[in-house]
Amino acid sequence: MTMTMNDPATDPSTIRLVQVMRLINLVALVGLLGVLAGSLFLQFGVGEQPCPLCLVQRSGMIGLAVGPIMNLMWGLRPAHYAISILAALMGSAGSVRQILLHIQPDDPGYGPPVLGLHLYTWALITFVVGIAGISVLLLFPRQFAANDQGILKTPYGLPWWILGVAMGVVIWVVLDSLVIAASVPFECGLGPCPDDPPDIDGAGVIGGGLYLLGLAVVAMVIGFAVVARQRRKVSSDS
Amino acid sequence: MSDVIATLSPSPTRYHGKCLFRARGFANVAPVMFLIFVLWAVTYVGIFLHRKWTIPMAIVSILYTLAMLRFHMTDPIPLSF
Repeated sequence: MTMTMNDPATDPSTIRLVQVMRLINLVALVGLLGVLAGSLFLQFGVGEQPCPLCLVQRSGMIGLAVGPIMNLMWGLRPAHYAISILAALMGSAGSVRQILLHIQPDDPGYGPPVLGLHLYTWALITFVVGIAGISVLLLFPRQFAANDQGILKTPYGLPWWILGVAMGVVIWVVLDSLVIAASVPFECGLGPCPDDPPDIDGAGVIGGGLYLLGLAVVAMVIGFAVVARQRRKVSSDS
Repeated sequence: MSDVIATLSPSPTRYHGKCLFRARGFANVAPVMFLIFVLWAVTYVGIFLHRKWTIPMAIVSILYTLAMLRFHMTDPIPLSF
């Protein structure tokens, strides 16, 4: 009796699993993008400056996004998921700290509540859901057998426009993170941040929305340009 | 009875002092909040350039953020535990 074993790197079921995992990573990245864009809207649209613990939680969100970005750019690896889990643990430490500071029943909390919960509570929920979600994804170790090299080098037949959207989302997260980074010196200088920073004049709902829309357009243009350049490179090599 | 518990429980003020002491020990680095995001930006550069130091840099970013969290833990939590 002869047994035939498929090469895991080319096995169609493994490739399909990689595609599903990439899609889940992309959806997770879009969710984190919503959180980061929402925080930017609050800062520049509404004019509410982030407190030091809020910045720690933003750092946790950025770190949580690094895992999916590396999975999409470099290929699926356990170490990339590990970075996200560590960043989520760090961010949740900041969230728990802020929740405990406002734990007493008569305390109004910091900042306006959104859908009945304060932003630091939502942040903790996001971090916990992130850790739980990654744990579920790690239950499928066959995703690492395909020797995935990322969406640009090993697209596995993905349509070019999906690659463009994925790269656009990656660039959008990076741009949001850079804007957050650029805003910190104006609030804190080159030192620790004030505990209760004063509000600034926001650009308003329309101004803040247009600002975010502008970032999205720039990110998508760069994302599609990167994919188009890669396609040209692949076609000229072949 | 509640007076006894209040006397035996460490007050938030006493915890406050301990926190400050520990914060100085743990976060014995320059408290530059901006540096957190510079470190993440360098991590992103590493991702796009596909450098081996990217994952260590991400871990450094996480650890520095933890240090900054510890540094900013100055207010007492209003619970006695």
